Amino acid sequence: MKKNLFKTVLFGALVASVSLGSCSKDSGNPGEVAPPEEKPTDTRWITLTAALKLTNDGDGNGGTMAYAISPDEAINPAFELDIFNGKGLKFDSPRTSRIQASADGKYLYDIQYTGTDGGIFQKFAVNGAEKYVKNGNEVNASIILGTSPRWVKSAEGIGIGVSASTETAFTGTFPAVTFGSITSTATVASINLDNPSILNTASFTIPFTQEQLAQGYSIGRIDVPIINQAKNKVYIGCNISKVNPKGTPSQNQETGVVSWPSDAANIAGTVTLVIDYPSLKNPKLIWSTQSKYGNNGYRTMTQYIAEDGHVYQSTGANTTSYPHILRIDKNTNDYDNSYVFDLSKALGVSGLAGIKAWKYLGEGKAFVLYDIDKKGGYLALIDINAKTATKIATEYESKLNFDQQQSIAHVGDNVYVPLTPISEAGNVFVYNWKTGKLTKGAKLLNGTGHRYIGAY
Amino acid sequence: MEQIKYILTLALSCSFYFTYAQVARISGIVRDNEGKGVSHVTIQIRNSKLATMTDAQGHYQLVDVPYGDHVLFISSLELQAKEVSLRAHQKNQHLNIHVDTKNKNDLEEVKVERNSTKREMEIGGFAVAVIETKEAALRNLTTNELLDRAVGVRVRQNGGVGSQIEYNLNGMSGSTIGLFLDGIEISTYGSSFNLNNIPPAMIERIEVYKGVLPSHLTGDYVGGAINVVMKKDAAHNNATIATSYGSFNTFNADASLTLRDKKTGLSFRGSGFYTYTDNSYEMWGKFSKYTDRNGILTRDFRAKRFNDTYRSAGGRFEVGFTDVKWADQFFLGYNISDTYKEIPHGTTTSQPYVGRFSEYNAHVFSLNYNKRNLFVDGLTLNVNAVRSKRSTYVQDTVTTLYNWDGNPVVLHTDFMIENGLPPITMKSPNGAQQGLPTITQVDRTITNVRSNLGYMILPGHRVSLNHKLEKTDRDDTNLLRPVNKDLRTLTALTKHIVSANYEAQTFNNKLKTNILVKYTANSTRQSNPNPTYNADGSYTLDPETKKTFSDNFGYGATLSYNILPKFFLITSMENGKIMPSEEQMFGNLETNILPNLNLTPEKNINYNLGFRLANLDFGQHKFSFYGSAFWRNGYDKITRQTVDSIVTDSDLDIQASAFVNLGRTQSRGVEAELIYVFGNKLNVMLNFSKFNALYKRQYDEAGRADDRYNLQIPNEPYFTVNANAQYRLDNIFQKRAIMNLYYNMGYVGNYDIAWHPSEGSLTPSQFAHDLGLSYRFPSGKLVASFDAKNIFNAALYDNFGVQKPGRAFYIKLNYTISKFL
Repeated sequence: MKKNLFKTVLFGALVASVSLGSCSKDSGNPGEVAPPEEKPTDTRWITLTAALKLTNDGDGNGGTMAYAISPDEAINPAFELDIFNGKGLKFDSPRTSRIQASADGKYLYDIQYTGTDGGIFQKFAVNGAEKYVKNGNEVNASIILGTSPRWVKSAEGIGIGVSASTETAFTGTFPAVTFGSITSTATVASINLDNPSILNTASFTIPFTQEQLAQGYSIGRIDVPIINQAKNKVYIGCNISKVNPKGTPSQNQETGVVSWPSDAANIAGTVTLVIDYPSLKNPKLIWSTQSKYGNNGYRTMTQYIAEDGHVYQSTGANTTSYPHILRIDKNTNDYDNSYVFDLSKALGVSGLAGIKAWKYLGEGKAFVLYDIDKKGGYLALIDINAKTATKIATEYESKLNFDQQQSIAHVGDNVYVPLTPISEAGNVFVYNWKTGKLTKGAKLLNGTGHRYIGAY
Repeated sequence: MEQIKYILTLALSCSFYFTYAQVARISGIVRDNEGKGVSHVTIQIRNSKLATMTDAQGHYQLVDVPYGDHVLFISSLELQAKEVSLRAHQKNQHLNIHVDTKNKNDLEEVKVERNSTKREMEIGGFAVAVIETKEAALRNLTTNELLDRAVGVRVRQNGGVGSQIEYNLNGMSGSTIGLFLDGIEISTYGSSFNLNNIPPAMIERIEVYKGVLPSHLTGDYVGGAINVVMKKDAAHNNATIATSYGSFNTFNADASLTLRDKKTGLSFRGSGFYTYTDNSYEMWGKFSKYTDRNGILTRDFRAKRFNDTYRSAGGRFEVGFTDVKWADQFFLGYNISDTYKEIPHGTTTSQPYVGRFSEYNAHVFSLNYNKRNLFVDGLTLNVNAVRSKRSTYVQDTVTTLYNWDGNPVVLHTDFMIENGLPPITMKSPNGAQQGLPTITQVDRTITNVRSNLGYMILPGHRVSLNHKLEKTDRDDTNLLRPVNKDLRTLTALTKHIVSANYEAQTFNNKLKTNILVKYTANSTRQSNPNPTYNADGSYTLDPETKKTFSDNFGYGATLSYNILPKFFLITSMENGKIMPSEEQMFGNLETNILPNLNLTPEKNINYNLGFRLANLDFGQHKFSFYGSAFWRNGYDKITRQTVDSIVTDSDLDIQASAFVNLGRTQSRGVEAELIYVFGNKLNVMLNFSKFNALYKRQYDEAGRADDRYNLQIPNEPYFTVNANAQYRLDNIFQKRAIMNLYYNMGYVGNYDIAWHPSEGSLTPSQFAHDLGLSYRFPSGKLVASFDAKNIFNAALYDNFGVQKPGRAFYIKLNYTISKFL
C-alpha cells in the first residue's frame, strides 16, 4: 500500500516536472545537466518572505523564511499559508537576509547577514512552494564587504554591494583636542548575478571638499546602489552626517575614539555618491537642495529608473523615513533640483509621512508603504509627475510596522504585498494599480514574534 | 574564647559527655606505606573497652583515655596488625600511626568493604561524580578530556588545545556552573592556569556536582560545579617527571616534588608544567572555506589550521606544615602562570585570523589552614584565601585578509584581467582581523576567601557555617587609543556569600540528610568622574559615587537512604538565584563577548532523584550501577546567543555574541552509568545523558500563546554517550611489568544551533574513538604510554561549526622516584 502510494507520487512528480520543464523557455545554465525539477517553470512565482524573531517579539533577528505561491493562490482568500511550521525555505543567515530577486521572479539572490555564512552570496532557482534550488557558485563577498553587507540588485543581472567607514583626525590629547577632519572611505563591489562571481571592486576616499571637511561632514554608511539607464554610472545613497567642530568632544571609554557632537540641523542637503560603471572609479558627490535627509535606505531598494530615464530616489535612513522623492537627471548625472515629491503634502496629512518602502510601477505611478510620525503601516498609490497620492486603506494599517520591509512584488497590473501585524495572522493584498481595485488574498498564518516582510 | 566553649558545651548538653579530671584525648592519622590515610582501621586500647575506627581520610580519635601507659592494637582487613605503646599524660595528645598494608596475595580471598573517597562522596546525597586522575596522569590525556568522559558532562571546546571552553552539565552551562580549584573560583588563577593546561598529574581528583552544591562550594551557581582538588599529600618525599610529544607538534612536560621533614612537619610541595602546540590540525568540513580570485567560494576545503599556537607554563609552590599541633595543614603558596595564545578565527571558521593573539599571566598567593578539633572537640576550621593579580593582553592589528590555505586573499577577477587591472590583496573592511584594530590590556586584582567552620554536635550530626568573600578590581587599558583614566567610570564589585548547613546521619547511618541555606549579598560601587570641559581643553571633575546593593536567599536539601545493602537512594533539591557575572554584563574582548548591561539575575529550582547500586559481586564479576533523573527550572535564564544580534549604533561587523535572559526554561532528563569489572583484568564503563531543554514562555505580552512554548532550546547538545574499557595484562615482555590497554568512545547526538532548522544550522552527530596503551616497567618507576585519538578521523564539532582535531597520536614517559633522602 505504502509502496504503491510512493510510486504514484513519484510518477505524478515525474509527469508534472517533465511537462512543466519542457515548456520552459530558458533553463538558466544551458551547459548544466540539471535534474528536471530544478528548471524554472513558466509560472510567475511570487516569493513571500517573513522575518523570524530571535529574542524579542518583532526583532526580526531570527532569520528569514521564504515560500513561493502562484498569482492565483496569492489572490485567493481561501488559500492559507503557514510558513512558520515546517513550510518554506529557511535562509541560513541568522539575521534578516538581504534578499533580492530577478524581475521575472525566477531567481532569488541573497547575501547572508551575519552568522557562520555572513557575507556569502547564494542564488536560488524558484520552483514554487519551498522548492528553492541552489544555483551556480556561492560567492564570498565578506572579503570586501564584511559579514553584514549592504547590497541590492542594481540592474538586472548585476548586484552591487557597498560599505563605508570613517576615521576622525584631530590634534592634541583628549580632552584638549582640536578637530581636523573626518576621512570617509567607501568600498564597492559588483557581482555577476547570472554566473555568480565578483566582477570588480574599488575602495576610495569619499571626495568632500576641504571646506566641507573642515565643516565636519562625513559619510559613515552607504547603501542602495543603482546603475543608471546608460549603464555608465552608479548612484549610491549616503547617510550624510555632520559634526560641530566647535562643540565639546567626547571620548568612548572603551574604544578610545574621540568624536564631536552631531550638527545634523546644519546639513546642506541630501547627498548621492556617483561613480563610473563598470570601473567603479571617479567618485563624485552630488548635493540636493530640495531635501536634507539621508537616502541610504535600510533593507529595501529606494531608487528606481522611470520610463523618462531619470532615477527617482526616496529619502530615509535606517528606521527613520522621510516623505521626499528626489530626481537625478539622466543627462547630467546630477540632482534635478527643480524636482521634489513630498508624500506628506501629496496625502495632505499633518504629520510626517515617511516612505518605508516603495516601487515604481510605470506611467509615473508608484506604490508606497509608509508610516505617519513613525506609527502604523499604510499603503498609497502615488503619481510622481502629478505629485499626487491616494491612500489605500487596509484593516491592519494601524497595527503594522514596516521597519523590516524589504520588497514589493509587481507583476503586470498587480502589486502584491503580504501584510501581517507582529505575532498576528494577515493576508496577501493584491492591488490592481490600473483599476485601483484592492483584493484581500491568501491568508497568512503567523507565529509569535514574527512578521512577513516582502514579496518578490 | 571561654564563652564560645561554654556555648558549645551547652549545645552538647543532650549528648553523653562526661569529663574526668585525668583523661586524655588521643587523635591522629593512620597512614599506609604510600602516606595515604587508611579508613576503617580499628584502634583499640588493650585491656579496655575504648576503641574507635578511622574515617575516610584515616583520622581517628579516642576520648576519655585515662592518664598512664597503654598499648594500642591497630587492625584491619587490609593491614598487618600491629601494636603501638602510648603514654597518656596530657589533655590533647597527637599520635600518627604508620601501618603496612598486607601483600596483595594475602588479600586475594578476602572481601574488602572499604569506601573510597570517591564512593563515600557519590553515596552522600548530592548528585556528584568523582573523577580520579591517577590512571589518566600517566597517559596523554588532558583534564578536559577526562571531564568530557564523565556522566552528564559535556566539554564544548572552540577548536584545539588552549581554545575557549564551555562546560555543560546536563543542559546547564555558562555562569550557572561553578569552576573551582580547591573550592576557590578557578578564574581567580587567571586564563593562564585553568583546566586547559593543569595536567592531571597535579590533580588529586575532580568532583562534578550536578545541581545542588555542598556548602564548601557555594556561590552564584545553580547548575552545578566542577571542583578540582589539587594534590595535597605531603606525607613522604616524592618526585615525578613526565613528558609527552605528539601530533600537531604538541609537547607537554610536568614535574613535581614533595618533601617533608618528619620531625618538624615542615613540608614543601612544588609542581610545574609546560605545554606547547601548533594546533596545526586539518579541517575539511563544510565550514572550511576557500575564496578564489573571482570571489567564488569553495566549501569542504581541506586546510591545515594556522596562527593557532598555544604555549603555556605554570608552577605551584607551597611551603607549610602538616600534622603539627596547631594545624593539620598550614600552607603558604605561590602560583605563577603565563600563556601565549594565538586566536585563529572568530566564533566561526568563516575567516582565518592572522596576527590576533592574547597573552595571559597571573601571580597568585594563597594561604590554606585546616585544623580539626580546634579549641574544642569536633570543631573544624578550614580557611582558603587567595589573592591574585592577573592580566590579559589582546592584540589585533593586521589588516590583510587570509585564506585557509595560509595565503592572503587576492582578488583578480576575469573582469579585472580583461581590463588589464592588477590583482588586489584584500584588506579587512574594519582595519583588523576581527573588527577594529585593538591593543588592550586588562588587569584584575582578585581577592577570594573561603572560610568554613564545622562542628560535630553529636556523632552523626554536624553543622557548618561557610563564608565567602569575593572582590574584583578591574583596570582596562587601551594601548592603541589611550583613554584618560581620570575620566573613566569605574565599577567595583564585592560579593559576600554566607551559607550554613546541617548534616545528619540517622537510622543506623542509613539515612544521610543535609539541609543548606545560602545568603548572597552583592554590592557594586560605581564612580563617575562627571567631568566638565573648559574652553582651553582642561577639565574639572565632580566625582559622584553610586552604590548598589542586591541580595538574595537560597536553600536546598539532600537525602541519601541506604534502603537495601548496596542500594542507595539519592535525592536533592535547590532553590537559588544567580547574578550575571562581570563578563556576561560588561563583555570580554578576548572571548568575543559583547556587553549586555540589561541582564537580570536568573532563578533556578532544581531537583535530582537517583540511585546507586554499588559493587554487586558475582565472584570475578563486579557491577555497579547509577541512574539519576533531573528536573531543572530556569527563570530568566542567562544564555549565550548563537550569533550576534545586537544592533549597535555603528552596526559593527564583528563576530561576537552577547549573553541574554531567555525567559523561562526547563530541562528534564536522565543520566545513567554502568561499571563492570572482571577480576583485576577488565574494567568497562558505559554512561549516557539525555535531556530536553525547553523554552517555557507560554504567552506573549499580549496574552497570545507563544508558539515556541516547549520547543527545544537551540545550541545545546542534549544526548551524549561515553564508553570506555581498560584491560590489564601482567608480565608482558618482562616479569612484573604491567600493560594496560584502553579504549574510549564518545558520541554526541546532532543538534540545531538556531530556532528554525535550516540546512547549514545543524551540528551533525559526532562519534569519536580513542585507543591507548600504557606500560609499567618492572621497577614501577617508569611508565610509558601511547595514545591514538579520534582514530577514524571523524569531523568533530562543538561550536558553530568550528572543527576539532582529527586523528592524532601521542607518546608519554613518566618517571617517579618515590623514596629518597
